[in-house]
Amino acid sequence: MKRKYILIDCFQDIPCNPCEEICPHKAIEVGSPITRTPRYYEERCDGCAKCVAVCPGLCIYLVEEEEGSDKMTITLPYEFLPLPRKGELASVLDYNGREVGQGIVKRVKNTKSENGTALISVEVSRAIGLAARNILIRKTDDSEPELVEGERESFTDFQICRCEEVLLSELRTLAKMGIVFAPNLRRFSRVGLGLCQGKACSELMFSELSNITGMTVGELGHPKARPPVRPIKLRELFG
Amino acid sequence: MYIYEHPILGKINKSPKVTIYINGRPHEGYLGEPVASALWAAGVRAYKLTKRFHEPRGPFCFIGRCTDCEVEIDGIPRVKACVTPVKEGMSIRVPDL
Amino acid sequence: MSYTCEERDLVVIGAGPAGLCAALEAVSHKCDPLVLDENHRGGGQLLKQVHKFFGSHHHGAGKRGFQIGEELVEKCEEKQVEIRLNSLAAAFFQDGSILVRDPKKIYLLKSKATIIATGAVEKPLAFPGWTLPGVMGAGGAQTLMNVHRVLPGRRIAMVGSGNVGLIVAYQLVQAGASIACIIEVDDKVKGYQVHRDKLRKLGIKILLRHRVVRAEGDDCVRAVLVEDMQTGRVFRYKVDGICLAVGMSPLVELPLMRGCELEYNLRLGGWVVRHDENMRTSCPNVYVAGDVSGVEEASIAMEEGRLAGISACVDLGLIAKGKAQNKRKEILERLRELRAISGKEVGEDQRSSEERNLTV
Repeated sequence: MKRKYILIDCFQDIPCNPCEEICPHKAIEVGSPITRTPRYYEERCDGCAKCVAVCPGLCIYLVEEEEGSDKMTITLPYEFLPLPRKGELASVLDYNGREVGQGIVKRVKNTKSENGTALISVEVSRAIGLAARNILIRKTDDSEPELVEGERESFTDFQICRCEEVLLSELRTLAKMGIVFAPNLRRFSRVGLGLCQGKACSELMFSELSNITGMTVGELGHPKARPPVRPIKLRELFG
Repeated sequence: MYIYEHPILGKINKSPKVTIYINGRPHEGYLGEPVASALWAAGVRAYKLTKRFHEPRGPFCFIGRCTDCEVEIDGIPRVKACVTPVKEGMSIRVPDL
Repeated sequence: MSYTCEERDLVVIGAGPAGLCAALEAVSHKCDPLVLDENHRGGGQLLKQVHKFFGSHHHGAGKRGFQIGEELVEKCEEKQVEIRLNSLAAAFFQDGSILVRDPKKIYLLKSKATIIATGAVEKPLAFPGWTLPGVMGAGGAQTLMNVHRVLPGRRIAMVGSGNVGLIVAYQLVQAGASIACIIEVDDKVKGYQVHRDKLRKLGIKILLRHRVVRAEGDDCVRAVLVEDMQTGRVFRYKVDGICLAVGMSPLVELPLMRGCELEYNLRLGGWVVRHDENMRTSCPNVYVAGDVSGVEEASIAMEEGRLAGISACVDLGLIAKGKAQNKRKEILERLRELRAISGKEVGEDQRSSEERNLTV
C-alpha cells in the first residue's frame, strides 16, 4: 500500500490561500476569513504536489511512503542554485536547519508551472523522514563570532546626519544649551539641511529630541516640506 | 561581482557589455545600468570622501535619495552614481584608497 | 519664467502597486488618468520582489512580486493608460498644480483630481560606523541584487527581523551570499512565521534581544559588533555588508506641500496622511493610496489604490454613488480580512506544532 500525503507548517493566521485555490481536488481548505490556517483532507489528495510549488511560505511538503518499507520520499520546495542532480546524495536538514542525515535525490522538477520553486524529492530513512524540511544548499563560511571584552562601557560618537556630517555629541551639546526646537537645531547644527533634504536624518533627529525633551515624536510635530522634493539644477528650472 | 545565474530570475538579462574606466583602468559594465552597480560589481566600495571628516562613503539607498554615491563622471563632479546610466567609454573617478 | 501647463482630469503620482491599481480602476469608469513615475520602469517596489506573495487571487497570490508588477503595467498598456516614466513630481502647490520634471523639460500639470501614491522610504538606524561603505538599506541591497544583478556582499548581517529583513536575508542567500546573523532588539521575531521559517530551515540564526554596538572597518565594513542585551556580552561577526531593515516612513512631502493634514501613527510608519475610509484626504479632490497613507503590505496598497480610484471617479461625477458603494463594500471587506493579521500574536497552535516539528 502506497500512501501520499502532505505536511503543512503553516501555523500563523496570515491572509493567504493559494494552496486552496490551486488544489484540483479540494483537499486543502482555508475558507473565510482568508486568515485561517489551512485544513487538509488526506482522503481527497492525490499527491500532485501543486500546493508544494505554489505555497508562498514554502511550507508544504509531500510525503510518499510504502507499507513495509523503511524508506520514505519527501518532496520539498527549493529555490537555490545549483539544483541537486538526480541520484546525488544530499544532506537533509530539519525545521531548525540542523543536519539530521542523508538522502538520495530521486526527482528534480523545475518547469514553468513551478514558477521558480523547484520540487526536490529526496528518499530518506523513515527515522528522519517526517523531520526533513530542506537540503543543504552549499557549504557556507560559518566562522563563529568572537567574544569582545570591554566594549559596552565605551561611548563612541557617530554622525546622525550623513550629508552634513553632524555628530550626535554636537546635537546633544546644543540641546543642553536649550536648543530643542527642531528648526533652531537645524540652523545651529545644519542637521537635515544637506542635499538629501533630511530624508535620513530628520527621523534620527526627532527621536533624539524625543529622548531629550521627554515628548513623543508625534508631539514634537512634523517637518515642513518645501519644493522641490529633489534637488533640481537652477539651469533646468530657468533654462 | 555580477549575479550571472539566479534561481528565480535566471540568466543575467543585461546587455550589451561596455567598457568603463575607473580611475583610468578599464572594467566591464552593462549599457544602461546605473554607474553605482557597475562600480560595486567592479569591487569599488568607497565612492567619495566626505568634506568634513574625509571618510569613505558608498551607496546607501541606491534610489537617488541619499548623496553618498556621488562620483566624478567624465570630469563632472558630484554626480549621483545610482541614478546615472552607464555609457560606453565612461570615465569615473573614485577615491584611490 | 513660465512653464507650459497641461490640464487633466486625474493625475496619479507613483506607478507602484497602489498607483497602477488606482489608474486601472479609474480607466474602468471611463476616466482618462495620467500616471507619473520618476523611475524608468513602472511597477514600483514590486519589481525587486522575487518572492511569492501572500493573499488571494485578487492580489496575485502565489505569483512573485515582479510578475505582479509586470502584469499591472501590461494591463495599463492594454487599457491605454498613459504612464509617463522618468517624470518626477517635484512639487505639489497649494493651488493644486504639480511641477513635473522629465529629462527634457519642466512643466506644470493641473488636474481636477489627484491620487498620491508615492510610497515610503526606509528608516535609518544610526550607530558608530553606520556611514561606512557596505552599510546599506535592505531595500537598497534588494535593488542592487534583484534589479541590477550585483551581489551586495559575501557575508552579511541583517538588522531587523520584520518581513523586509527576513525576505531580503532569504533573497541574499538565493543570490549567493551568506547571512552571518539577523539582529533584533525585540524579544520576538517581527515578521511572519513562514518568512522566518524559510531562514530557520537554512540554519540561519535570529539573535533576539540583541543590538548593534558598532560597525568596524577602514575603507568599508569588515565586522559588526553585536551585544546580547540580556548578558551584556559583545560579539564580533566578520561581515562585508550590513543591511538595515528597521521599518519604513511614508513619503509625505507632496501631500504636505499641498496642505493635507498628517497624523502620527507609529504602527503605520510615523507621519501618515490623514484620510477617510475611501482614501480622501483633508484637501478636496486629493486622495492617497498605498504606503503614503500608512506602511502596510503591497496587497493592501493595491486595494487602497482601487478605493482611491473609485473615490476620484465619484467626485468627478463619473460613477453613480450607489454603484460605487457596492464596489467599495467588496474592497473594504477584503481589506478587513487582509488587516486581520496585524497585531495578532501567534497562538498556542503554533507552539505545539513547532514542538512537534522539533522532534526527530
